Parts: sequence; C-alpha cells; structure tokens
Amino acid sequence: METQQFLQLLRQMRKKLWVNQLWYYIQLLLVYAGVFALCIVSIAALVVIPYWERILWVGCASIFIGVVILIYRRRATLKDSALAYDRFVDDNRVTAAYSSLHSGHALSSLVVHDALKKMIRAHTEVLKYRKKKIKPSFLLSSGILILLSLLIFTQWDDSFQEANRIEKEKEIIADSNKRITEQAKKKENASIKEKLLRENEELEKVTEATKRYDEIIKKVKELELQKKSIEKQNEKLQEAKKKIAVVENVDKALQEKNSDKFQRAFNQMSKEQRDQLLMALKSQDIDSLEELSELMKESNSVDEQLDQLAKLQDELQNEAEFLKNAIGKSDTTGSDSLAQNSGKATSNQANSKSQANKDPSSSANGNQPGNSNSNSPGQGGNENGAGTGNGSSPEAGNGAGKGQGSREMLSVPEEIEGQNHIERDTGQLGEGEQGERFESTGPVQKGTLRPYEEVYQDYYSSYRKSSDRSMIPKDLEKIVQSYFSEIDPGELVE
Amino acid sequence: MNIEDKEQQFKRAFLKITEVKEEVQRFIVGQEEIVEGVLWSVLAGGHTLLEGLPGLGKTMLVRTLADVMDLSFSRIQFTPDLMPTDITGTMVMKQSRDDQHPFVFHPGPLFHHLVLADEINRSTPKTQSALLEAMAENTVTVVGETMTLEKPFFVLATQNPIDLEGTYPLPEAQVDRFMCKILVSYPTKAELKQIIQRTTGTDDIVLEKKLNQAELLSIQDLVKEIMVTDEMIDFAIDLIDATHPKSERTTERIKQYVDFGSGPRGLQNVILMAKARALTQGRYHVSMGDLKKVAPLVLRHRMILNFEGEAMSVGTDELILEMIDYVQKGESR
Repeated sequence: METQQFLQLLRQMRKKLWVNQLWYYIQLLLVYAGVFALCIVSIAALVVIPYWERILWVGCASIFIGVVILIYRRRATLKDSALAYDRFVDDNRVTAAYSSLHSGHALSSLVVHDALKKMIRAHTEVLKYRKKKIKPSFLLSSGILILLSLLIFTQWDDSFQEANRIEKEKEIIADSNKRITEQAKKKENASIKEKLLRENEELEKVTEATKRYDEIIKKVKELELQKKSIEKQNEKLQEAKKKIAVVENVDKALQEKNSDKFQRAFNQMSKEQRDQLLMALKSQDIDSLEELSELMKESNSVDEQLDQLAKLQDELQNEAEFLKNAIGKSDTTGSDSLAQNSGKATSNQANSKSQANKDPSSSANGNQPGNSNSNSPGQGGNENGAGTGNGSSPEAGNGAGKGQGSREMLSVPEEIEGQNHIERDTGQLGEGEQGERFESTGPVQKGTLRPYEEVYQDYYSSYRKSSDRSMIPKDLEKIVQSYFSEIDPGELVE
Repeated sequence: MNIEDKEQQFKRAFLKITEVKEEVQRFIVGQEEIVEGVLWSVLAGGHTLLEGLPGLGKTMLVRTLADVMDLSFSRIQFTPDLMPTDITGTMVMKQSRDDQHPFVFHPGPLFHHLVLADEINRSTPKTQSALLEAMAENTVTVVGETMTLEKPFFVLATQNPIDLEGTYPLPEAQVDRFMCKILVSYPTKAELKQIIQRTTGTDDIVLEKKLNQAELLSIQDLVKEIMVTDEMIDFAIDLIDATHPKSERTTERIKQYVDFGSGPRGLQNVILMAKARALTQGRYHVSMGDLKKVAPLVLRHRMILNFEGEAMSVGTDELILEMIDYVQKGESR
C-alpha cells in the first residue's frame, strides 16, 4: 500500500518533469533549426545550391525527428522523479527508497515508509513549485538566428534566384525526358519507339534546358535532311527510269522490282540495248547497274522510311515546342539563345508541316504554329522581313529573323569589316512610293542590294571552296548541307 | 524479527546514541564534531587517530566516552622506552606452595575495551607494531601464545603534530589501520570560558552510564544493517578513485600534489562510518550527506602528499573537499 502511494507520488512528479522537458526540447529545437537554417542559407548565398529549400526543410524535419527521439530517449523516468523529489526531502530519502524497491533489502519497507512520510510532508511544496519553462536565452538566440537567415536570404538574392533557375531547368528536363519516354511507349511501331528512346538517351546527357532544346532542333534538322536525301535519291531513280525507258525491252526489266530479276532481264538484252541503257544511266550519274539495283532496292521502302522519319520528326518537333513553352513559362533561361533558335525551329516546322501534309498517315502535328512572334524586323529580309521566332520574353527582338520574309533581295551589310565605301543618296523624299534600283551584274559594293540567287551562289561557292580545303566532320557536313538546301532559292521556289 | 520490531530496535538505538552524545557533551565543552566523529568510529567498530595540540581534551574525551558507555578504559603513555610487553602483558612466574611455579599471563593495558594510546608516535616501531596487531586482529601474541581481546575493543591513539624530534612517525600501512583521523581543534573563546567554569570550580560532574557493552555490540550490528544504495556505493568508489593522482577522473591539484591515494580499506571504512552516521541521524539508509561528512575523516590520513605538496603546505582536507565537489558534479564520469 505504501509502495503504491510512493510510486503514485513519483508518477505525479514524472508528469511535471515531462512537461518541463517538452518545453525545454521545443526551445532547443528552435535553436538547432535556427543554426541549421543559418548554415544552409549562408552556404546557399555563397555557392549556388539547387534545391536548397528542400535541403533546409529536410534538415529541419530531421532535426525535429532527432529531437523527438531525444525526448523519447531522455524522457524522465521514475528514478529521475525520485531525484527531483529529493530536492524537497532531505538525505536522498526518495532515491534510497526507490532503489530499495528493486534491491529487496531487509529494511526496504522502513526506508519507503520513512521516505513517504517526508514526501507527504513536502507534497504541498512540490505542488507549488513551478520551474521556469521559458528559456529567454534559447528564444533570443533562435530569433537572432532566424533573423540573420532572413537577412542573408534577402540580401544575396542572386544566388537564390540562380538556384531557383537551375531547379526549374532540371524540372523541365525531367518532364521532357518523361514526355518522350511516354510518347515512345505509346508508339506501336517498334522501330520508331526504339529510335525515339535512343534519341532520348542521348538527350538525357544534356543538362541544360536551352541546350536540350538546341539539341532537339538539331535532331529535327538531321531528320529533315535524311528525308530530303531519301527523296532526292528517289527522284534520281525516277529520273533514271524515265531516261532508260527509251531503251527497248527495258520496260519489262524495270517492272521487276527484284534486282536479281532485273539483272537477268538485263542479260537477255542485246549489246546495243545494253550500251544504250548504260549511257542513259550515266546521264543520271548512275555509274553501274549495281548502283541502279541498289537504288531500286532502297526505293522499295522509301515510303515507309519517309513515314517513320516524319513521325519521329513530329515527335521531336512537338517536344521542342513543349520545351520552348516550358522555358518561356519558367522564365529561367536567357531568351536570346532561344530566340536565335526560334527562327530555325519555325522554318523546320514549316518543312515538317509540308512533309506531314504529303503523308496522310502522319499525325500532322507540324501544323502547330510558332507561338512566339518578334516585334522587331529581321535583318535577313529587307522587304517583308517580319521574321518569326523570338522568345516570348519581353526582351524579344534579337532573333536573326530569316523566317518567312521575302528573299528576293539581300542587302550586303555596310560596316561589316570596318572601313568601307559608303554611298548614300540624301535629300527629302518626295511623294509616291519608295523605290529601289539594283544591277545584278554591276560591281558589288557594301550596302547595296543584290539578288538572292547571286548571293546564294557566292555563298555556296565559298562553302565549296572551304570544304575542299579542309575536312568537315560528317555530322557538321550534314547540317551545313541541310542549311544550304534550306536556303537554296531553287528549293524555296518549290 | 518482523519489520515493526526492527523499527523499534533502530529507534531505541537512535535514542541511546543521542543520550550518549548528550551525556558526553554535558562534560566536554564544544568539540561537537570531534565527539560525533569518535562516536561514529566507535559505532562502526573502528579505531581512531586523534591529532591535536596538548591540552585540548583528547584524553578527557576518550575517558568520558568510556564512562558514558560503561566500557573499561586504559591509558598508555607511549614513550621511546615502552616495550611491546608493556602494552600487551607478559608471562610471569606464579609462586606456588607446591613448589610448582607455572607461568601465567599477566594482561597488559590492551586488555580493556577502550584503550587510549597517548602520543603513539613517541614509541618505537616494535611497540607500535604490537599495538597494531591488536587493532587489526583483536588478538595479542605473547611468548607464542595468542590471546583474544574482549569485544568491543577500540584504540584511540593521539598524535602531537609538534615537537617531532625523537619520534617515530607511523608508517602508511599502520596509519591505514585507523578508521579515521580526527583533528582536534583549538576551542573558541566561549568554549574556553565554559571549560574554565566547569573545571576550576567545586562542582563535580558525575557522568551517567547510558550504554553498556552488550548494547554497544548490538548497535554495532545494527550499523551493518543500514542500507546503502548502488548510487551511494558508486559515489564512494568515485571518491576513492579520485584520491589517486594517476586517475583520469580527479582534480588537477590531486594529480599535482598527491603521491598515493586510498586503498580498498579506505572505501570499506567510508561506507561503514557513513552507516554509523546514518544511524546516529535516525535513518535506515546512507545518504550523500553521510558520505560527504565522513570522507574527510576517513581519507585525510590515507592521502600521502608528495614533496611538492609538503613543500607548498597543501592541506589534505582542502584537497578532499575539492575532490568531493568534483565527484558530486559528475565531472568524474
């Protein structure tokens, strides 16, 4: 009975201790969290740390969990309560009594009895006792720490914004990866699926959103180039077919899509017919029958290949659009680089669109219009040169702008090389329409207008000369070729 | 015996001790702490070394205690020419009418309950050793024959800290036999006045016997029953450990000035004396206060200062109090 009463008093004391401990650790938690926040904010102010806020919150949560564990581990026990009670009772009576409960000493009950008597006497004093729960030093220091953190956060804004930008960029890239993967999974065609996944694997290596965008655009162009190359080869074959159709008995041979049968048909021809055929082929830059049969073989799958390429191009083009929108929305990257690419993207998009229109099986995603328009005139076209393709940012207007403007005339920049001969007609403009005069065969002077075809020819011949002098990497060569075919006046006419 | 009887036994013992203390203090002026110290030592069954200047009432204290406790008392004045047999007793030839003259043992002054060994450091080590055998073993060996001393047996030895020429300081091993060393201090002016009033007048103070031999032995048994918790034992162990200069958990001053610390006997004596104190306070358990109170008495003659400590006149008591504070703050853990 006495033992129960003794333990009851100890439990009451334990509750008091728990409350005190809780207050103490909550305030300690604030101090720890303040120290941690100050450390993280200080480091993040000096070094750009993406997801620093996440680190901060995770750290604070860890500290919270740590403190909870600490509270649990160091929670007051009955022994602690006995020690606390001993402050009100002399000569360690309560701790001795508590120890005696477990020791089984002969005098245990006497010790408990003695302690209980004293505890009951001191009970009112114990109830009156209120330990100071608020620790001003803890609260003050945590307040100072949090204030300092806020001060650093507001003063070193650049680092935090940069970190924010990187975070958004990473999110954009992750979204893009996810999108491409999902699109790939949806594809029924295994080849397209595989290609798309392979392209995504390569793109995953790129860690910046703008570079990723550039990379996608590059890939779109490469696909475009591949398509053109296939188309050209096909045209070449068609042309060759027309030429050799004049040769007798060759119709039958040409109808044989199987190259072996064609070879047999060729062997059955007379020598004269063969010579005629070979002559006709040479006129189309086809040197041998093997080359012809190769072309014929390839021509069997031209439609399928073009279809695949168009679909792949559409996917990538769509992804580029998504990416561009995401970058524009996030306002993370400088709009300049994006704007420079934008015009190219639109041009490619147009090509993609034309291809898509040719191919009824394609999803025709290329119809999406370019979603950003420039407010500034492009430098490329001098007439209707409202080139498309600056970013959606307010600073738009720096793009090269060779978009959809007319290319009939080109202006050679006046001051591209410093000291130049500049001729200018000055004076007030009269009424009527403004006119321009040019001579295509005259001497070229800077600042004058020249026909687009002429400039193209010069430009192309310069490229040929330089490419003859030095080797260009194959990838680059494709891009350059693609570029020239893009700006080729003949192509544009088509 | 049920617990109520035990409680009554403890209460009776407490009352008896209180009466003894009050009776002693009726005659001995002041010196409360010294009286208490000697009483604790007697209750714990240990021997006491009293150190103080001549004329401070050491002999009177012991005599008074013997009177109040109804114990036989003898006083031995140690001198350089004192022989072991002078204190132990010797075999003497007994005259007999039948022409047989057997040797019979003639007990010396050690054969008393309370022996006052006055100025113990003045006798030769040989005599000191004879006394120390009696203290340690409660036996006396004379001419190869060992005789047991009657219980209770206490030795209260005095030492004069001045005039050390021609003395034989007790070796450390022998000093260790004493449970405690009590320093007898000079009385205050008020106490001196009381001493004069009590001793130079015509009034004769007759002391009452408050305790007898059997009761004392019974109380000694009760002392051993006092409970000591593990925490208190740990604290006492920490104290003993901290007396050693090589211990990592001791004060810097002990490391600097102490050559040797206390051994296990010191720990035993701390606990026993703390138990005795607990009983005199009417408790059934040893408290931190008991340990803190008895530690200086038990440890001061067990801590041997090094040359630097001696040269700097470092006080052992001062070191002990510092050490207790250090251990209590938990810095030793």
